Amino acid sequence: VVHHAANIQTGADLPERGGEAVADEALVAAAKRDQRAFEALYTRYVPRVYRYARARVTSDVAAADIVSETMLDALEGLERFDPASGTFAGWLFTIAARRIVDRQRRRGRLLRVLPRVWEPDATREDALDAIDASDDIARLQQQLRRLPAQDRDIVLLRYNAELSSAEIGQVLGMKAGAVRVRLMRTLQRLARELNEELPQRQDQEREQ
Amino acid sequence: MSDLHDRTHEQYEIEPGLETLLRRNAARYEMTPGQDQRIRARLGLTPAHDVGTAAAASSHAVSGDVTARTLPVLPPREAQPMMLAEPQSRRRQWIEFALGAAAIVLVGVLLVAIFRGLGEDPASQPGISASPEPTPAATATATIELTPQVAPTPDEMGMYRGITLEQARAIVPFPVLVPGVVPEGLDAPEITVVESPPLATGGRTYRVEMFFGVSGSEAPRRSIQVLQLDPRGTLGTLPDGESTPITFNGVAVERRSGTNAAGTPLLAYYWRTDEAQYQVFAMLEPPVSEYLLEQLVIAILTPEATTPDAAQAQRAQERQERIPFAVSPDACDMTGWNGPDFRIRQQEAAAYFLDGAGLSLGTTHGVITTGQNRIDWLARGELSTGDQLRGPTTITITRNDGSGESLDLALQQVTQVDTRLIPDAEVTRAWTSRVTFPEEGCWSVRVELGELRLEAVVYVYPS
Repeated sequence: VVHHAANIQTGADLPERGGEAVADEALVAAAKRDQRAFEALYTRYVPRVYRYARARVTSDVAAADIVSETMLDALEGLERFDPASGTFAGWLFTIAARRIVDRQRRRGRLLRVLPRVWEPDATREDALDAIDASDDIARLQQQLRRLPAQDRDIVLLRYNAELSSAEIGQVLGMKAGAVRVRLMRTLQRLARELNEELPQRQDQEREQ
Repeated sequence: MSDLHDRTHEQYEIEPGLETLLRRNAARYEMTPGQDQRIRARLGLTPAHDVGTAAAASSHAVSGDVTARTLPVLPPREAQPMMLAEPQSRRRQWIEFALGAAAIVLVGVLLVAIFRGLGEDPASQPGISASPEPTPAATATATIELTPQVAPTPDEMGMYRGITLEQARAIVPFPVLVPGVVPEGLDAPEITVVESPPLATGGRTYRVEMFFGVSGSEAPRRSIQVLQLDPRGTLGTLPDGESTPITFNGVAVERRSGTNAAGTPLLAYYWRTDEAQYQVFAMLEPPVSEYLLEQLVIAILTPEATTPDAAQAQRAQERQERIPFAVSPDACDMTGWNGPDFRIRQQEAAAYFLDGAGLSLGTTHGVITTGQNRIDWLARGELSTGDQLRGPTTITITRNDGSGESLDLALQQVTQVDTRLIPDAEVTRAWTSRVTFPEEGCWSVRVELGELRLEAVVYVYPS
């Protein structure tokens, strides 16, 4: 393990969902009474759903479609959401994950037949990488791609969707403890592999 | 972005450098205001009033500052501009209708019970216990139509996706404009028609969306959006910057510029007629340029294109004079798109296929035009090594009017698709190609590849 004690950040006791003044439960209850109140949930979650979806599909358009389908499913199925079975965030990202899998299944079939159809997307991705991704980001994405699918999903649900371990467990059908262990191991693996590539440079950055 | 630890209130160990990197990686992905606006319209939420609102709202939401936006008071449904088909309003109409009907039945049954002197519980009467919620509204889903349809029908959003120009013109009551000649650098458009729910004043509004792809050698692929709508609807918010009146070919056009939240320049051209209103819009990022937008507006507003049906008739007339055996699309017994039953939504790669004996021809939009077309080929069956490498090299077309005129068209840029990506499909080989059809009209197509054959009748439309 390459990371050193001095480089490790330990989370302190942190407040529950401290950043959000109105709890999801209250917003959901309001939206069940009046669908127009769904606006607040939409505003709160759309950026996170998009970041998660965009990291799992190959184009902006596909990610936006998934966001759209997820939000529509959530809006139409809000009555079925039961807070006793988990958080709204967990429920919403379960929908998003299912939508992504559905899409990948359809896309996989087409890709098998006509992979070149996606040339424009590939061009765009390359260009985006060239324009606004630093070497570090590109390297991180490369390492993320090498991870087993579920480990990668846990990391994305953590950092792109900003879910807790319990919520990630809700999405993936795992216990929170198991998620925590997998996340820790995956982060250690990522750190190790990234540090093996560029230990010098990261040390310099930290010193600065 | 908010502090993740604040959100998740969990302790765990991670290298600060990796944590920063993971957050930076996530922060790269931001939805555009246009995407946000489309989704809001689909959900029946408040449209973002300017292109910067959505991004600002998004960043507020991520930082946890949503208090000010909680439970917004929306304008009454009927006061909202008609932008896109709104499933919620349709659902609400259904529910209101069903509730109204249930109430009438309930009152009727109560009256009958009173007159009969029965003290029965009205809810026990047949018909009263039925749920007032209509099934169609409750089961709306965002499914994707996989089978190409000759006669398009709207999806649950009221959207006709990936349709041809002719199909769009058959649906929409106002003139659908297309450029007489597509300016160089632009791809043929993807066409979508959005149908509104029935209006209280009668009829529906229709909105035609066309996306012209723009590709550059060193820049990401972008698109220019052309919107067309009848005068009752709202096309969308124009950029809020400088407004300049311009006249193109005698038509007064408003040029509106501005920037979005990310500082990207926006440019729109807007004009209206008695029958419809039109908007050409794009983000000015390479390879999209103001010159390209202007060329597109001019091409759309050429006298030919402003009256497309007349122009088409005129071209047909000219063709008739030049080629006396021209056949109209109606008289052409075209082969239906009968290939693999997959098709994905517009803006990705719709695929319509003609299936032959082991060989299929695919087009992106389900329409073949004069000029260069991208044609994809699928093979199912045994091929010799040479065929495997080369793919189809010529396509023989025969004019389908009795003249027997026949041409061999060379396929260009034939590129084999990596077959490792086709592990379990029936398709044994696939290629992409470019082929130029010289004349519009009804043509019989014949392609051979080893033992594989494809014969079909296609109509080549004027581009």
